[in-house]
Amino acid sequence: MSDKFERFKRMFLDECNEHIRTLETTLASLLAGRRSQNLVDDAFRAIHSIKGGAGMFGFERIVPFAHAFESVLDGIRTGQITISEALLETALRSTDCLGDIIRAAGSGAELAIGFEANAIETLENIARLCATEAAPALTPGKLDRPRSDMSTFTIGFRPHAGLLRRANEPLLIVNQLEALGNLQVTADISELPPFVEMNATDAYLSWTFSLETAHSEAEIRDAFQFVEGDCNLTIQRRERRKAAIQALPPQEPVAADHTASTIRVDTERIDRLVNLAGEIAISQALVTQLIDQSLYDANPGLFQELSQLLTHTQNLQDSVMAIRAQPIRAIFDRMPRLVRELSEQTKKKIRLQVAGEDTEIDKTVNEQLGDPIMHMIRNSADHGIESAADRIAAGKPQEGTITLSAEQRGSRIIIEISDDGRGIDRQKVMRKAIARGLVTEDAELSLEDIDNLLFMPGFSTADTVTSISGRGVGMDVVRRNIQKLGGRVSLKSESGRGSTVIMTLPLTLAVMDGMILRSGCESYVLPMASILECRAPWQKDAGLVPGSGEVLNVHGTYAPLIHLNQVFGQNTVTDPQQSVAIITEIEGGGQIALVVDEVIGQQQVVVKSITKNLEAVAGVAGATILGDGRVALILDATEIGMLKSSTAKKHLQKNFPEGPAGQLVA
Amino acid sequence: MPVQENRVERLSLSLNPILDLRSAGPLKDILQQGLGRGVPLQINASAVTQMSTACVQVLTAFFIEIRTTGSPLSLSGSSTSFDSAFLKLGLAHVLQSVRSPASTPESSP
Repeated sequence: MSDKFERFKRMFLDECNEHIRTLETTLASLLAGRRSQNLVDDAFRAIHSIKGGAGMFGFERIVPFAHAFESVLDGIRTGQITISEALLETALRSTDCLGDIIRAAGSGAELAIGFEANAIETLENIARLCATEAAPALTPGKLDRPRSDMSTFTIGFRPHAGLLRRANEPLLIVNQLEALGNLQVTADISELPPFVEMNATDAYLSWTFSLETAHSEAEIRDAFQFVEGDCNLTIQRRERRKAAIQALPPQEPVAADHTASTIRVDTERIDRLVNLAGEIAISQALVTQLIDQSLYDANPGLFQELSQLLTHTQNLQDSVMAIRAQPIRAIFDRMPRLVRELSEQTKKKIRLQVAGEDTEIDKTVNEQLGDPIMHMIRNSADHGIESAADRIAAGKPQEGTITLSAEQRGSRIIIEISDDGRGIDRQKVMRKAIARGLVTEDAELSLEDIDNLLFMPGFSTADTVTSISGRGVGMDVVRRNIQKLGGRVSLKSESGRGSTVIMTLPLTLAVMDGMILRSGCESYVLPMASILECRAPWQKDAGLVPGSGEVLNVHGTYAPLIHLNQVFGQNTVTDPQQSVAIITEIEGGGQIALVVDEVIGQQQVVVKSITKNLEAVAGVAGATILGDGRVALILDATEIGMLKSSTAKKHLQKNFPEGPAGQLVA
Repeated sequence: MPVQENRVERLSLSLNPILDLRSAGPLKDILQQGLGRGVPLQINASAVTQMSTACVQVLTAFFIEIRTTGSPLSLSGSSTSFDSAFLKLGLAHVLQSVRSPASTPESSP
């Protein structure tokens, strides 16, 4: 099979995911009570496209399922099937099943024989129950169309013999044409062989349609989009009747009806463009440093043009970065299915409310957000939302609500997952923490500190481990994943009212807000997202702890004190009076205090990978080029903290062989 | 799709609710059993909720064939879905010919 065919196949599977999302959103809207013909039409078009493409590319598991699904949606569209809640819920489950089949087709995974049989049967059964002889159709889509000018088209449709076998259904084409205007159908049965000689699935009939419509030829051709290679098709405009009063509108080219608003581009090409934009940003920073008053005095014209060039460059960089941005909808659209499944598993009635799904975020961030969000929703459904009986007893509606929202605030994206459940039982959290020796019995922790215990590795308040959650492997992984993306996670909870998890993420990973630091004669960049505070002077809060080395008292807790010049083996001496301690958050919820010679300032930097050309260096996340052309390493505070801890352990083993390893005795 | 042969030498066929593409082959097979028996055939399509063009074709060819052989055929009942499929495909006259055995289905111009 040619590469081209494989590429088209891959593109089709990508499109299928979009169609599945359309199905999910339209069916969910219908289920929420928005009964509109346009929604049904959108859902029908989505499944029709899946079926057509699947037939063309030979996806044998997709075609029959999509065909059965399409028939049901067509029944709804034409008023032969009445919409009911049960039907829509089944249709949503069928969408989940179809999504699984498509994903399996894409990955080459083997699905069990009969995987989809039950879903097809359930859908067909419920559709049969909802079938009606005289169900009123929803507001017909064709009424939405402008009818200012009408044309009559003569359409000749002669299917090739194999058209039906490839799951193409002329009845659906007729339905689509009917939706476009007044249709007259004339069948030609002259090619029909004697009954005993015919092959039941060969196509023998052909048709001539006469369609009076305000729609364009391109829209008519659209009804035949999946059969064009499988038939002889002729479309001729017979006459054009204008509304008497209306002035002749300018003739639009036919192609304009079908102009695509998006194009597909390989991510590799986009990444190359983003890299180039990064290079331009660096050059821009270099040029900016050269522009000064003397240049203006010497050549004001050049100064002005350069300033203009820099503005354009900045705009270009912003636009290129925006190409990588994707609506977070791609992740959010997966959650209704998850909540439906959780609702079934936990036997709780749970509703998902989604807001801000059009918020855009960097593609890489987007791709890695799915798991953390799913973890939090699982937790909400399993631990947060109470059983129906408990909710009624607490004076709450029987149905629990999980809300998932996203919004952009400045250069960051805020994602919130909240529920109206029982909230965090902080006494239980404390009991578990004491039992595990994480805190002492007399420890006085703030509410925030107690909530943060939930992010400790392996910590769980669940009494029983379920298939959904309770193993305590969720929250710390969530925090670690979000921190890897340059983000933060926090938790708010009110007893009896519910909990909210707030994730704060950078808009992009290619550009980062960083603090430029100097240690010795080298410059370093520390991501702003991880910095909690800077201290100078800091010496009065510092102390020495056996086994842990130098520590800094930060509001009552002790953070390891790390001299950056020692981390990278520089033979420089830090002046204690001039140096600054930067308190930095590390993965797992801890803190370190990094001592540097000077804080130079804050700057947006372009992140460059060093692992492409060099081996990974512990404590270094990447590199960037500063405005003066010098390369600065971007620090990984968590790794630096780990380096310190392993050094301390060695120190402890050497000097305190009998000592209690790792225990803080300050 | 049960075919019943009763004592007065008449065959009755009740069509299945779903007559989709997959049903076209089995439908043809069962209709073929009714051909050349020289007995009246009665078809009931009142349970049909889903029709495909393939099944419409099979039934159209069957109706033409059976009229050619002169065997009596009647349609004892039909659902809206069944009638609608023939109507949408421009074959209402074929169905009409079964309902009014005097007329013969003809090729459309």
